[in-house]
Amino acid sequence: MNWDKIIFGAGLYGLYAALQCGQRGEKILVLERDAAPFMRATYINQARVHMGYHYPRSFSTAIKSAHYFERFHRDYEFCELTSFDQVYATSARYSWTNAAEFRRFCRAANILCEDLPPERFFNPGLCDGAFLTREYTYDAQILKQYFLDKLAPLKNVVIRCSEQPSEIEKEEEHWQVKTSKGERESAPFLLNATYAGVNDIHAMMGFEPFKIKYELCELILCTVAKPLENIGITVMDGPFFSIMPFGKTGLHSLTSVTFTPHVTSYDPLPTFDCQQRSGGLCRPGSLYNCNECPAKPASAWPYMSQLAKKYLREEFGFSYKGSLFSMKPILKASEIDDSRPTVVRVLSDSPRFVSVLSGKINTVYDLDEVLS
Amino acid sequence: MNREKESNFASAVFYLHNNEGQITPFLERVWAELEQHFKQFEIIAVNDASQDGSVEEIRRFMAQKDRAMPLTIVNMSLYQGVELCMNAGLDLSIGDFIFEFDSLSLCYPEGQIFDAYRNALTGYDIVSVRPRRGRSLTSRLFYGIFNRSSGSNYKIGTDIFRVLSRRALNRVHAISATPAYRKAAYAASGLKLCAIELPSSAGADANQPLRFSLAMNSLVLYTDVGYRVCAGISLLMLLCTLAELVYTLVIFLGGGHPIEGWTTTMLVLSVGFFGVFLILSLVLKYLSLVVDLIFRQQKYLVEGIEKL
Repeated sequence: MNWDKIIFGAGLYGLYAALQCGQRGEKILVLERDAAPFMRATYINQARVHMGYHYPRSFSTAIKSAHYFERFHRDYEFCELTSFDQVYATSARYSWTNAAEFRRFCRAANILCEDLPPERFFNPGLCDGAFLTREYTYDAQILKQYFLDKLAPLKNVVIRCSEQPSEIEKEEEHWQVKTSKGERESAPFLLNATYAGVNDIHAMMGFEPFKIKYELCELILCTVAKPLENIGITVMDGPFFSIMPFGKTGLHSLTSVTFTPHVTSYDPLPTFDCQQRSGGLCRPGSLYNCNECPAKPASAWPYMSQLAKKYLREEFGFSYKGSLFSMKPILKASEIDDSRPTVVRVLSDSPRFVSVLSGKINTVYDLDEVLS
Repeated sequence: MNREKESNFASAVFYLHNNEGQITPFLERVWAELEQHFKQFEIIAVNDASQDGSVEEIRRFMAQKDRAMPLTIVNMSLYQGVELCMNAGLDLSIGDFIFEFDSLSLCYPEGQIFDAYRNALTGYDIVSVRPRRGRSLTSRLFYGIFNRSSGSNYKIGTDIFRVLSRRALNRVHAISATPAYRKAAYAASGLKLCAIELPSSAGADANQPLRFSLAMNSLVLYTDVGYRVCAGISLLMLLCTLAELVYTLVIFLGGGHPIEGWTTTMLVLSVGFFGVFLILSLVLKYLSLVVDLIFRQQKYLVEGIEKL
């Protein structure tokens, strides 16, 4: 069948693109290899609507996040949890930043940063500064429903799940896509919004891979004690942790820089030991959903909870509810300054092929430029 | 032995400085004991700019372990000595209980590591394991002076290793952010401390020569030896000049006939020095107060509260 655009991946970026183009009347096909949209990174992450606090070492990322924050908040407020105190703290030891630096950074980026006494939250001597900030968390399930509801009346947009491209060939001004279900589709425009699978598609089409470090990450869901209920805490900037509300689920997510990544791969097509135990579901060049995988690792809860317990005062208790696993690609160039640029790369002009890679939800607007 | 493993999280922090030969047996012993007794543990090696193959030995050791327990190596930028390094390791540790190994010496019986931990569970925040007799004369002298003048009930000595509770570490950090001398800081923390003495005096702290400047700093910071010695001397000098003043006055009033000009010279000298030593004594008092104010962030220390 002929389409105006074929989009790989029904995460936020994929569905956002589908909606934008669908509303203009374009014929859009979305292929999603999982059984439903929003089953990987869009859902399995800290669900932070970034204001920029996270990037005291990358001013440009911070400014951009702050700018998009307001826009995302305007457009998608319905899926955000805003009624909690987001506390950022700087660890006294092993941190790449400190209280004074963080204050200065927030002033420069013009984002809210109000001093709180660190001893209100943390054990003595562990944090040299604590700050009340303005940041929200989004609920991926509500966001997903919004997109599905908006897309449902559009007859020109089709989302096909449990289906992925198996062969892609260029034929004059069109891409010929053969899918895993044997269907043949054709379009002059391909959008690769597969996030962790971005290089899989590149390999299939013979394009140079992004230079990426892959991490299999675990996000822990917790129930929390009363004092922590309306508080999110993030300790910066180094081997620390974050415990904050997870959308509107009533649960908190717990992550840590050292224990959240379980295994790492630097290969262009990520290779992991656990792939051999996945029963053929996952292999280099075709990443399965880690959260659904039979070979997912044992939880790092003992370590993550211990780290958080070390910092937090006793009354801020929390307990284990479950774990979510997902693959996270990190652009290698961004490791030093910890920036998280949203990369939108046009790899072929005619027919058009565009790959997008972003670790942040509110920079989705970066897509607008290439979609028009 | 089918005992239930401890659910407390254990951290082992050790100091590494060119210990290529000792590292593997040490790791094997510590790993085996921790794995046998604890559900969860971590090991932190603080590498104080080793120039030999110590770090490679650790990597080799880890490569043959199938169980993934985090072993972290903290690489110091340049040689900084055991106190600063161990502080760096402790700051990174996350355990409920922390084992502190200043040296890799293995001169204690097997099972001693866990024994020390069990001792801690009976209500001691700090348990140190040490040989019965101190080794060298200088270290005995230092500990002798220190213990006599620290004002703490607990005597410090040449420890082989220690177990600390998280509570103890928090307490020590509340008193001062980076303790200059951990042992003394623990003894001065006001928490319950116990020392297990091993029968032999063999091999304790083989790579730990007593460091003179550290010893002086500790005496100044954690005891009042420095203040007392200085105050004593200036008081003595004060008395001497006072005696001289009296003597001069007696000669002068008694109509003695020393060389011309002697009496006035002596009067000026003794009155002048009297003033100088008086001021010195006051300055010393101020200095000791300043050290106290800067160094101790908490005014009083409690061991615990008991309600009857």
